[in-house]
Amino acid sequence: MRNLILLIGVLVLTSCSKEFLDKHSLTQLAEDNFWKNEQDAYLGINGIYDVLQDRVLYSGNLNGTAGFSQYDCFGDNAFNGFKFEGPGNFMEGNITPSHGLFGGLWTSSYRGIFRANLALESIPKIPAANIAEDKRSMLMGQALFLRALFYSNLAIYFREVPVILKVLTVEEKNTKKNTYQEVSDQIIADLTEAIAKLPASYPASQYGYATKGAALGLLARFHLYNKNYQGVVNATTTLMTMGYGLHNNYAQLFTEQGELSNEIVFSVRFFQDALSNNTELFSATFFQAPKVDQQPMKNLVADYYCTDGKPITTSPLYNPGTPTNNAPQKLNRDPRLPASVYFRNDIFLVDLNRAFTGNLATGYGQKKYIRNRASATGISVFNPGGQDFYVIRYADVLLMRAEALVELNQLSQVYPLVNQVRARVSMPSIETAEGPGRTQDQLRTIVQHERRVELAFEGLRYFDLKRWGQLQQAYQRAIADNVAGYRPVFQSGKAGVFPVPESELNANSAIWQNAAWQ
Amino acid sequence: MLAFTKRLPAKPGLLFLLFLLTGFQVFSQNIIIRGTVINASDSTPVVGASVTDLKTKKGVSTNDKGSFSFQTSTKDPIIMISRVDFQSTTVVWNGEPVIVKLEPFTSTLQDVVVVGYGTQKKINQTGSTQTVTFDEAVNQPVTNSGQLIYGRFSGVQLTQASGLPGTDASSVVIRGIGTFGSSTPLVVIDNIQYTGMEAFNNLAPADIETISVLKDASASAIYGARGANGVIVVTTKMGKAGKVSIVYNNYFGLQDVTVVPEYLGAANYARLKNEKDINANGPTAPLRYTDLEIDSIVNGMSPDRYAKTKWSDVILRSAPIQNHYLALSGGNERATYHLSLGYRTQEAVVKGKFKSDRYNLGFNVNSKLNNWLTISNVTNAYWLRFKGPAGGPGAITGETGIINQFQRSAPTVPVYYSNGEYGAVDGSYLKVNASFPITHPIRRGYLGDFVSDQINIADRIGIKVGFTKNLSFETSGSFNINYSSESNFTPTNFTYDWAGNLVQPTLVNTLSNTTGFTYRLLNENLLRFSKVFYKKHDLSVLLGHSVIYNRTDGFGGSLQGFPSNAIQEFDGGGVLNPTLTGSAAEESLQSFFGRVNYALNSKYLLEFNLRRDGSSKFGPSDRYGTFPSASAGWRIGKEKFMRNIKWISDIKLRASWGVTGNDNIGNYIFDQTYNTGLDYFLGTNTVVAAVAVTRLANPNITWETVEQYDIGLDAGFFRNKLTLGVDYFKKLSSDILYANFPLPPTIGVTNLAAKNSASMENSGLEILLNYRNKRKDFNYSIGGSLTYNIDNKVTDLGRDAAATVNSESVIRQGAPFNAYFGYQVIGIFQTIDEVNNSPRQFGSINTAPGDFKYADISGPDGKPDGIIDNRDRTLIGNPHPKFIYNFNGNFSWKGLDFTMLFEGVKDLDRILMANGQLPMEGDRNNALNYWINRWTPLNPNNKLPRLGGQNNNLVSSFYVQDASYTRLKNLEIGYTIPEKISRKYMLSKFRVFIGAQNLLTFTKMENFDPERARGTNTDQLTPLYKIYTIGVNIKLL
Repeated sequence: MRNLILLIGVLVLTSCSKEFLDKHSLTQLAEDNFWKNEQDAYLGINGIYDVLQDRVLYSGNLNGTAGFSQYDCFGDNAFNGFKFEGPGNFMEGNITPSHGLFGGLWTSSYRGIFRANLALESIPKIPAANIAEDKRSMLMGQALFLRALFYSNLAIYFREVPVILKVLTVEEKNTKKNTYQEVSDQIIADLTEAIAKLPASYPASQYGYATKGAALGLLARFHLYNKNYQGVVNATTTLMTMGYGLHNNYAQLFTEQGELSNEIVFSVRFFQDALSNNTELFSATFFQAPKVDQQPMKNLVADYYCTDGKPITTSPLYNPGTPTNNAPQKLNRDPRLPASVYFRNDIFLVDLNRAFTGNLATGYGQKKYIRNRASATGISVFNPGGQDFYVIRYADVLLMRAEALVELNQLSQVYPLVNQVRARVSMPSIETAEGPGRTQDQLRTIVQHERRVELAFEGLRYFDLKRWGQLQQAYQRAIADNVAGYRPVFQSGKAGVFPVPESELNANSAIWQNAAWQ
Repeated sequence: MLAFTKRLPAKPGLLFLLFLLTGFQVFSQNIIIRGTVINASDSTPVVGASVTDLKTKKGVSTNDKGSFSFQTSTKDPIIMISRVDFQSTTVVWNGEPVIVKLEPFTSTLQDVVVVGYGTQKKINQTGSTQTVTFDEAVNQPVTNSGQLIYGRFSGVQLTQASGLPGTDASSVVIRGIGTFGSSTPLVVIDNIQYTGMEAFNNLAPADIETISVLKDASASAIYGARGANGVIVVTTKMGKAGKVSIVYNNYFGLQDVTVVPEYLGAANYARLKNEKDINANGPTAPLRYTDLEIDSIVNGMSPDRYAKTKWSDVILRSAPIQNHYLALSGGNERATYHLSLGYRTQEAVVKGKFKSDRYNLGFNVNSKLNNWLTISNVTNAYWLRFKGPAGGPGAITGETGIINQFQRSAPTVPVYYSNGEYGAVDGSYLKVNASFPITHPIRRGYLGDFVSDQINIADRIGIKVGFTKNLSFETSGSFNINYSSESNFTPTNFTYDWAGNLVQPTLVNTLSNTTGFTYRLLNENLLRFSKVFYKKHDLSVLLGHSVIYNRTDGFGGSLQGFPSNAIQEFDGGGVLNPTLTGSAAEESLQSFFGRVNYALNSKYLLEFNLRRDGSSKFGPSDRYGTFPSASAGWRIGKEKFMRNIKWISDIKLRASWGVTGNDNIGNYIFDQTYNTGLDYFLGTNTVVAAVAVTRLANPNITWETVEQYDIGLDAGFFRNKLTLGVDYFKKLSSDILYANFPLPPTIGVTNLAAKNSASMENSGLEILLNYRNKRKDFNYSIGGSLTYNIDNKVTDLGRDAAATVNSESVIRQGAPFNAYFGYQVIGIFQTIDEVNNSPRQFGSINTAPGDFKYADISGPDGKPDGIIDNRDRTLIGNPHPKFIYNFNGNFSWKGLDFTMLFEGVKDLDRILMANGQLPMEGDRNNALNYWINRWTPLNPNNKLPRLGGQNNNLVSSFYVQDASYTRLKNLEIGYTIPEKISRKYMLSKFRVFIGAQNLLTFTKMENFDPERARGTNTDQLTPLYKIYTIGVNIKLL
C-alpha cells in the first residue's frame, strides 16, 4: 500500500503539462485574430472615432484641461474662469509647454492618427472574400477623413508637426517635424481621397460616420485657413448641392433635439448612457452659476446687434440696464444673443427654477450648448451628458464661402449667403441693415462679425482670429473688458501657436521647440 | 505491525530502494513503561509531551497530570521525551517508573524555527530566519494580526497608513524595497500560500502559534519565484493530547486619534482667503468676504451665514472596539483538535456609520490513522464585514472624503443652521468669488448605506505516509476561496441653505453592487528523507512539486431610480441608467523544488535549495526560472577551544547566498492584444463596439530576480541568558520590471509594456539582542533590535530608459527608490530687485516678493542656466528609514505581568502637501494654523511664502518633513488570580489586564501622525488611533 502511494507520488512529481501554464487574457482580443473581416474593419474604424471623444478634444471638461469647446477663451469671446484649465493661464502668459492643454491635444491627436494609420494599413489586407469592396473603400475613406481631421487640428494649433503615415515601431520613434506646407499637402491629399471614397450619407443607424459632406466641409475649412479662397469656393459649391440647410430654431439646434438636423455636416457624437463610455462634459454646468469655466465676455455680448440690425452704439432699441442688472441688455437683440448668453435673473436650471444671479466675473453666463435641467433619467447637470459637438455645420459652410468670396472680390455673391444665415434668426439682411453696395472692406467686417455672433462658443474663435491676424486686437478687447481677477497679456509669437509639449520633446530626439516658445 | 530492525548498508545508492522494501516484523515480549514528566523549573506536570520508544517509534503523550504509560516489545528500551517548547531528553528505562524533568527552552538559540516546508532547530539553522512563538496567555489587543509583527523582528519595516476599521493593515517591507512593484512578502499560513497580507491580517490573533520571517535568500529560496520580497510563515495553534482545554479571551477598548491637526479659525480663514485672491489675481480680484462679513464672523452676529466651526471637533470621536475569542482543544495520542471562534468589532474614530465586524473560525485536526499514515486538516476562515454610509471607505478618504473636510470645508459654514438643516454653504456662496458648498462630514457619515462582505475560506487537507522512520511522503490539496461583495446605496437627497433654499439635489437614488470571486487551488507533494549516518553525518533531503491555479472573476452593476430609499436591492424597482462591469483573469504556476541539509558532527552545517518555477505570466520561451541557494554554518561554540570560555554558551557563524524571483507582476504582458473596452455612438441609439491597440506588449517578459548575500552570527552568553544575532546582508535585484522608455506621443501608443531592465540594491545590518533572567518570583526579559539600512539605491534602469518622475518622487539611477524629487527652496524673495536679479522662475512674469526662491541646479547642458524650470528638480528627501528599531520588555512578579513594546524609525522623510499644508491652495481649501505666519510685506520672514503667490505649491524641499518617530506601540499590565482561588470557580486561569496601543509617540512632526504611507495625499486617510483596552483571559479547568 505505502509503496503504491509512493509510486503515485513519483508520478505526480514528474507529470508536467504544457497547457497548464498557457494562459491568455480572457477579456482582450488576440492580435493574430484581428483585421480578418469586414466586422473587424468596422471595429477598428470605430476605435478611431473613439479618440474624438477624448476630453481634451471634443468632449470637453467642466473643470479639467480644456478641450475644443473652450477654445473661445483664447481671445475675446470668453473668460476661462478656472484659469488652470489652460486658456486662462495661456491668456495671462503664465503657462509652460508641460501644461496638459498642449500635451493632451497633441497626444490624443497622434493616438487617433496611429489608429487611422493602422486601419489604413490593415483594411487593404483583408481578403476580398471577407469584405465587400464598397465597404472597404468607404471605411478607408473614413480613416483618411479622420486622419485629416487630427492633422488639421495639429496644423492649426501647432503649425509644424511630424507627418506620420504608417504604424511606427519603437525603433522609429524619433520623428522630425515636417514643414507646414508638407503637413498641409498631406491633409488636402487625404481629404481629396476621402471625398472620392465617402458616401453622401449612411443608413440612419450609422448617422454620425463621416460623409462626403464632412470631408468637403473640412477641406473648405482648411483651405480657408490657408487662404486658398478658390479652394473654399470649389469645396462649398459641391457642399451646397448636398441637401444641407439651416435648422429653423437656432436655440434648439444646440440641444439634443438639434443633433439630427440637416444643418450638421459633421459632429462628434455623444450619448448619455451609463453603460457605454460616450459622454461629454462640455455641456455640463454647476448649480451655483452657469459654466464657470467659460464665461461670455462683455465685448462679445456688446457685439450682437439689436433687432434692427444696428449695433448697440447706434440702435435706439438698446437698453444698457444698470451696473447691477444686465437683464435689459437682452431686450430687442439678435435672437442669437439670448440663445447663447444668460443674463441676470434668467432661469438657468429650469427644473429647480434657479435664476442666474450674475455671480460670474464677467456678469454673463454661457447658455449655448449648456444643459439646463437634469436628464429624464435624473442625471444631474454637472454629470457627463450626451450632447453632440458640431465640428462643422452648414451656417459655418455658408460663412466660409462668404469669406472666400469677399477675398476673391466676388462681392455680390456674399449678400445672399450672409442674409440666409441672418434670416434664420429673423435678423435684417445686409441690404436692410447696412445697406447695399458695400465695399470689400465693409463686407469683410460684416462677414467677420456674422461669424462671431453665429458661431460663438463653438470653439472656432481662436481659429478665426489667427487667420484674420486679429489676435492682438482681441487681447486688447479682453483687457478692456476689465474682468475682475483676469489679466491677459499679449505676447506676440506665443499667442499664435502652441508649444510642442514637454512629453514629446523629452522622448523624441529629432524634434525641436517652436521658436516662439524656446 | 511494522518495525525496522535491519542495519543498513552504507552504500547510499541502495539506501533509497531498501527504505521502500524493508519491512520485517519482530515478535518479542511486551513490557509496560510508566512515568511522569515534570517541568524542571517549576515542577509542574508537563501535559502533552510525547514519549517515544526510540526503537519501535511507539509512544504516547502525557496526560493532564503529566503521566504516561505504554507497552513496548523492545528490550532495555530507550525512550525519548519531547515537547516543542522544552529540550528533548532521552532516558534508558530500567524497569521502574521514572520521573523525567524537562528543561524548558530559555534561550531563543535553542528554539525551533519554522522554515519553508518544515521546522528546524535554531542551532542548526544556516539561513536568516526569525521565529516568534506566541504563548496562549498573551492576548495583545491588536486589531489585525499583522500588527503582531511590530516590535519583534529585525529587518522588517511596518507602516500603518490608515486607521479605517477592517482595513487598517500595515504594509510590510523585509530588508528594503527590492522591486518597483509590490514589495509585500509572500505569506504562508499553515502551508497555504497567499498573495498579499490580507489573509494574515484577518487571522484571529489568538490563533497564531508562530510567526516566522524568512529574510535571506537561503531561507526564502525554497519559495523560489515568490520569495524575493521575503516570506512570512505563520502557523496556527494545534490541539495537544490531554484533557479538553477551553480558553476564552476578550477585550474592550476605546480608540482615539493620535494627533489632531490645527486649522485656521473662521476669521483668519476669511482674511487669508482674501489676501490669497488679491495676491493671485491682482488688486481688482473679486473678494469672497467683505470687512463687514469678517466682523460678523468675529462677533458671531450672523451664525447661519458666517459661523466659527472647528471641523476637527465635529468629525472626530472616541470609538469602541471589542474582541472575543473562544477555543476548544485537546485530543489523545492518536488525534488532536483545535477549534476556535473569534469575533472583533471596531468602529471608526470618525463620526458616522463606519463599523467593521470580523468573525473567525479555525479548525485544526491531526489524526494518526495507523503508525504510518497521518491525515490532517487545517481550516482558517473569516468573514469580514464593513458597514458605512454611501461610498464606504471612500466616504472617509480621498478628495471628497470626511477627513479631507478638515481642510475642504470652510470654517465659516455652521455645523447646523438655525432651521435644523446641516450646514452646506456660507453667506458668500452666490458671490462671483463663490465659496463652495461643503461635503458635510456628519451628513456624509450617515447618508446612505454601504456594506461590504468578504468571506475567505482556506482549507488544507494533508496525507502523510511514513514509509520508514527516515522517509515520508506528504501530499496535500488546498483551496482558498474568497468571495467579496459590496453594496453601495446613495439615496435621493437634498441640501438646503439657511433660508431653506435648495443648494443641491440628488434627484435619483443609486444602488451599485459588485461581487468578486477568487479561488486558488494548490497541490503540493513532498518527499522527505532524513537520517544520521555513522552518528556524525546528519543528512536530510526534501523533494517537492507544487501546482497552483488561480482564477478571479468580478461582476458589478448599478441601477438608479428606486421607488423608495428604503429599497436597496436590484429587484426593488429601480429602472434608470443601468450599468454593468466585469472582469476575469486566470494564472497558473508549477514548481519543482528540493532542499538538502547536511551537518557534520553538529558543527559544520550546509544547506542547498533549488527551485524551478514556471508561470503563466510569461511567454512560452521565458516561462521557467531556476532559483538556487546555498548556505553554511559553523558552530564555533562546539569546538574544543571554546569549551573553557564559560561565559560564551554558544556561538555560530553563518553565510548564505541565493537567488529568488518575483512574479508579482501583471498578467498577459507578453501577449499583444487589442483593447475591447472602447465604443462610439451612432444613429439615435446605437452604441457600437470599438477596438484598438492601446498597449504595446513585451513578448520577452520574465521573472524579476533577487540575489542575496548574508553573513550572520548567533551567540549566547551566560548560559544563554543573553543572546545576540547579527546579520549583514546585501540584496541585488535585477531584471526589475520597468516601463518608462520614453515614447514620444507621436508614436500613438503611450502605454508600453514593462521590460525586465532595472536593477536595485539594498544592504543593511541587523542586530538582535535579548536578555532574560529570573530572580525568585521576578521573571523578566528585555530585548530589542536595530536595523541599519546601509543602502537602498536604484543602480540601473536599463538601456534607453528614462527616470520616472511621479508627482513627488523619482525613480532614477543612483538614487534611493522613489526618492523625493522637487525644487530646492533657498529662501524667500524679499524685494522685487531680488526677483529681477535671480533666475526667472517657470517663465512667470508675476513672481514677486514673498515667493519661494528656488535653486538653479541644472539646465539643458547639465549646468545652471539662469532659468528655473523642471530641469532644476533634485533629490529633496529619502522616504526610506536609515534606522528601524524596536525594544520590548516583559516583566512578571507573582500574578502580575507587564509587557511593553516600542517601535521606531529614524532618518526618513515624508512630503506633506495635502490637507492644509499648502498656502491656501485652490478656491475652497483651508490651511493649517501655522500659515497665520505667512510672508506679508509687514511680516517678511524666511520660512513661509506669501499666499496666492507664484509657484509656491510645487513639490519642493519646503514640504519635506522629518518623519522619524519612536512609539510605544503596546503596553499591557495583567494580573492573574492565584490558581488556588480560581480553581474554586472551576477555572485554571483567570487573568485581567489593561493595555494600550500607540499610547505615546515621540516625533518632530506636527498636525499629522508620522507613521504614514508614502504618497501625496496620505493625510487624507483615516487617522491612526490609540486604543485603551481592558479584558480577561480565562481558561476552564
